[in-house]
Amino acid sequence: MTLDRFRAAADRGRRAAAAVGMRPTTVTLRQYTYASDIADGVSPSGPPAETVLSPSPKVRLLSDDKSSMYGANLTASIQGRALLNTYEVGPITPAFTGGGTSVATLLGTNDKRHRMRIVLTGDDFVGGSEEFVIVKLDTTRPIRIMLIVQQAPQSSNG
Amino acid sequence: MSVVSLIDGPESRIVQIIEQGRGITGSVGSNGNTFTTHAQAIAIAVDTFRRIEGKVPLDDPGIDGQAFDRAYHIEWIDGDDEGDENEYDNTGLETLRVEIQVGLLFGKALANNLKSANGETSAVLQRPKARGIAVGKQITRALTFGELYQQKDIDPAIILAEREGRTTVRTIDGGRAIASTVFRLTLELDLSKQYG
Repeated sequence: MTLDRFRAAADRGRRAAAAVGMRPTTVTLRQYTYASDIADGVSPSGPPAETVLSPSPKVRLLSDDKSSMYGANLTASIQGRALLNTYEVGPITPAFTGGGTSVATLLGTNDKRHRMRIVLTGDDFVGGSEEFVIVKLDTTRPIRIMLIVQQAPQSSNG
Repeated sequence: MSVVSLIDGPESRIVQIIEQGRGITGSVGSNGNTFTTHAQAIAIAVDTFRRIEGKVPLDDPGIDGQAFDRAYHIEWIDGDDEGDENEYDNTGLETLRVEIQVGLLFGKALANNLKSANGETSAVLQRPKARGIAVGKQITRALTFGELYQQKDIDPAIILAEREGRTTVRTIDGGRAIASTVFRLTLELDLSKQYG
């Protein structure tokens, strides 16, 4: 059995979990492109390119202990404090023939004129969805990718 | 009585000089002032620096790497009227101190996010302190050059701008450095107005 078939089997299992409603949070990759260098008052040059991860991976709240002067998105529970929540996203099936998601796709393009965001959509997020950045990527296992994501500064949400 | 912002005018002038290329073309725009070739040589070209997204201090860990290199932040430090003005006079002086911070990335892994200018090569970009001292000097020359700041089309007008102390560069977490230069701005206030 090749690694491809292991990954395909894992992917089917994850699809089954999502199909019965065990994965209520939708994960979307959102790639912004800017016409000039990212700065105060500079907006993306058009609507971002979005890719919805399928099947939806497991999403779990890890901590809410970091703070930032930026503030994160205004989650209903922060009571006026600017906290950056951290979530674990995964397992995500790595790319295989016929499916999965490559590391390059997850990371997107990040430079002075490109910015990648992970959008989590579900009941835990104000307005239904909030933007996150990947702060840790674990690809050491053969059939799963795990992400640690942290809320993105609210001022830069497009 | 309407209240005039004490900070907005001088801050807009700082932004014009650091970010918007004030003086670079010789013309100042609507009020018809022109700049000498000396001023044009000192003026900072557009797109050399960019204002930090969200106007937050540069040591905030929430700032994206993409937005950090050559981003600047204006931090107002303190204000003083030195206690010797006649409050019945029409004009008064106020001295504000302001810190200009410039963010610099270093480390080869972050090369994608570097914003190079003035022909900087990758070798220069790996020396944040040298780079920080250089950008501090560039900003100091422009910001303290009378022709570039002295026009009275802002209220309060800046009548004197001087660097105070030295340009310092400190490194913080994550391959980031902050070059910091403090300036002392003397402002002319119209005491028939309320500043707030």
